[in-house]
Amino acid sequence: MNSSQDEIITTTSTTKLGKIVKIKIAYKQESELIHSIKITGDFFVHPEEVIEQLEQELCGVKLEKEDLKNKIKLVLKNSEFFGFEIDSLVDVILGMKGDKNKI
Amino acid sequence: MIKIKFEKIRILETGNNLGPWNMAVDEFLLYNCKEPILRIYGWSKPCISIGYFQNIDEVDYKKCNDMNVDVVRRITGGGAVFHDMELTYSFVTKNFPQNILKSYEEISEVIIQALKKLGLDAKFSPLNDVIVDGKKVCGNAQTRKNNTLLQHGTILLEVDVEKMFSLLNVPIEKISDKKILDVKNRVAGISKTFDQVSNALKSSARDVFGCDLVPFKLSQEELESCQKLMDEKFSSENWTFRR
Repeated sequence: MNSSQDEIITTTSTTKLGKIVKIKIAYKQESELIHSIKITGDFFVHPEEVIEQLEQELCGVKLEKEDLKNKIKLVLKNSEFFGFEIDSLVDVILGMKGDKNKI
Repeated sequence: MIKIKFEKIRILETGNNLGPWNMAVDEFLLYNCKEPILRIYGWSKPCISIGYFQNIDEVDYKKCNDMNVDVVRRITGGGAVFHDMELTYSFVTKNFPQNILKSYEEISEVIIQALKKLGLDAKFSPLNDVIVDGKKVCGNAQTRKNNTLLQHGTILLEVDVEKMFSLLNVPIEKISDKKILDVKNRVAGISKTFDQVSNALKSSARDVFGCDLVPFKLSQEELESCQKLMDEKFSSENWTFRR
């Protein structure tokens, strides 16, 4: 497959996971690799800057349950967060795969 | 059971100011904390503060501009808050429970006891709220930097739910009478004056933490640092629109 033909799909999702979590994701349709992701909402993460690190480190990760879970766990391992759980965050991201509501 | 105690707390009363200034002073105190400080303040014009992680699209920015309402991004997480008829406080300390829930609970005890002094049956509602008769009257948020904790929060004196909704980008189908009624049933003002709450809060801080209160003012140099923070960060679109 020619990667230049790997179309980038962009979708958004708003879910209440304890707190509201809004995700905007762009991923490559064929390879299912995350191109970019933005996670916003009224949750709490300490230290706060970890969320930007998470967004950066998720780029290039495959939309696959274990890959996502392992990466999120690794980045958040020294953080405390309220308003979502890692498993539910992974489920939301995976649920966006195949979403054709391109924006 | 309150475990944190202080010998003294410095009291900073900064009056009513613009949103970006209020957030600048809180950040300045966080990064320059030598002794615990309780700051009490208000808003010279209405302001919506959004949480650190929120998208700016949560707010109808144009409508806020049209209605002369400031918009500022906080350094703390949590949701959008419409600051209008309220007393706002911030508390900074290097001595605090490391457990986040515990720290919210212990610091919020000052608010609970203050409200009890005003005849209200206030209770802590985890993670970060204080409720009276089942309704939220106070929301709080924390951040921690350089082993210093900042907790700031609002004690609602009166609430205008319709105005708040009109300034937020809530999907139109959710701005129903039922939704507004639902929020009215969950959030309430305490119908006390700013001065009543301010006095109760100071008295409660003395009781809860077993400490002396020492009023102080920011020096000219400190005010200039806050001004710089306001100009370069909290008034800037780079910060406000960063997410």
